[in-house]
Amino acid sequence: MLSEKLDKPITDTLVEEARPTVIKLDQVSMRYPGPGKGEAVLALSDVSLDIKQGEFISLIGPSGCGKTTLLRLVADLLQPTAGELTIRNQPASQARLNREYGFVPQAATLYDWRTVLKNVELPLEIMSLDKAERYKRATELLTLVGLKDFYHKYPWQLSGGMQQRVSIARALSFKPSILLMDEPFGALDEMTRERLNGELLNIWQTTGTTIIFVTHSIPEAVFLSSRVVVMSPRPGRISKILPVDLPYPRVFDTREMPRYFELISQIRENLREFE
Amino acid sequence: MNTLKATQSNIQPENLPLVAPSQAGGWQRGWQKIWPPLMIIGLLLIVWQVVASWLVNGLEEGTFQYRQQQSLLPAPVKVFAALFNNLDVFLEAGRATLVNAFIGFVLGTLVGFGLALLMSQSRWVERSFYVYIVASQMIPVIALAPILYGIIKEETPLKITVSAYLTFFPVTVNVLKGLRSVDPTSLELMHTYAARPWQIYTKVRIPTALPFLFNSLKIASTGSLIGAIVSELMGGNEGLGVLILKLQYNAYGVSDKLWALIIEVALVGMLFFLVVSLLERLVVPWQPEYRKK
Repeated sequence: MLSEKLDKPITDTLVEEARPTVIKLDQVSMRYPGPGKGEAVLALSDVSLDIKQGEFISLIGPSGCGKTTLLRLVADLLQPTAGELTIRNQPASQARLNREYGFVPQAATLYDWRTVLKNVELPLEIMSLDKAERYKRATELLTLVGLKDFYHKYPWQLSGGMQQRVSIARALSFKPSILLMDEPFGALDEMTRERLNGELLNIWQTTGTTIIFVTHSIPEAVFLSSRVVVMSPRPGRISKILPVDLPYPRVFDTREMPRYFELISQIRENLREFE
Repeated sequence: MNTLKATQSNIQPENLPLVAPSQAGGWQRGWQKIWPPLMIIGLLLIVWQVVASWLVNGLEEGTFQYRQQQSLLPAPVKVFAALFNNLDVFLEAGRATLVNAFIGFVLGTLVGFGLALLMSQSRWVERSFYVYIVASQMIPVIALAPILYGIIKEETPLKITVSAYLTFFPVTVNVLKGLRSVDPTSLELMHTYAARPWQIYTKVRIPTALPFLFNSLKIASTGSLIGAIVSELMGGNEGLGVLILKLQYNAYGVSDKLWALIIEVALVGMLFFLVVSLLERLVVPWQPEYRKK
């Protein structure tokens, strides 16, 4: 049902009218206590953002702009010092307990003592699903990320790109409606990164998940997102929200479109202001 | 060009067993590993035999002077003869010591693991326990054994207690370190799964601590054996320590037996260590050192 809508280019107006809000930030601020009696650091200041169901949102900005902090607030790994943050009309902590989101960290963080299959099954074991169901879901997802032949390999037998695929499959294993990704492809080479970008879009379209994606790469943000959130540092604020009006499905040729380059330069100019 | 290519593809390492030792027979590889230590042992035995023979040169066997000289360094031939001539007594003593050391080892491991789990709960618990645990290890076994003997008075429980006492400390220290060595991102992931505290232990913390546990078990394997032998030196009916004590009263007479006994102690210790190492391979095969390329 989602993919039907995605056949048309997503514009900001379409998003606004058609979809319910899943993640809502209302004047959220985050102040880290300083070291010792030192001054506290304001990592995020008065951030307000509505994210609609099925959106692909990228957070981009220079180091220290608070994009990872923002992601961690949504994941309830941090708690805001001011403002209100709700996920499907519930506080972030409740959303976490309800397993509303899957988290994909920067490093794949797989467990060396578990095979690929068992790594993907881990969240399901914690959620006490029975063995047959765990196996069914894990094999489904590993097929989705293209690791059908690697069920019984150990993480250290896989390349970096494959490890990230396992990490994504694991985050999706319990069918969360939201996927939070913290620079998951940052450590990969350009070729692998582009391939995984394409695969991620496929996954997004088949599962209909809402994705928040933190990245350092402007082309990556433009290629993937329905909206790019550009952030500025000290204190972290939203500087600009840019709807990406490139048509889906985005393919190899998308990277050759003049509009693609226009959007990249637009964001680059925007980011240059903070230097 | 084509022929050159064909020849090149024929010369693969697999076809050249001499160049690729991994493709050679198993015995050949095994021999390559074994011969350096064997050669050293052989050389050592020869030197030992020569020196020992020189020490008793010209003395008549059985005389006091002979025995006095022999106690400096009994010949390996004599030592091994003593070992084989008394094999039944030696083996029985070895069994008695090993069994009790092993029971103490298992108990000490359980206690040590339990303490580590408890101390990993909070820094506060850790701080309150750690001082006493470290202090406990500052008492030399040789001083502790008689104190415990005064309390326990029974031979077997004493041995087990001392072995356990020497085991729990390395286990606690290492396992605590292991439980705390979990990648912070792993813990964050568990948090996002809304895992319960005990699940974090069973799924992440304990598996992470297992290689640390085995490291401590290797240390404790020889430690527990020493513990059992030292407590046997307090007197008793059976065990390697008892045998050492008995032989010591004989002064110069039995230096070959004493040396044979030390060799047995070393072999039993190595056996214990080996068993723990094999167990490690079975229980924690994912460690980098066991990975197949």
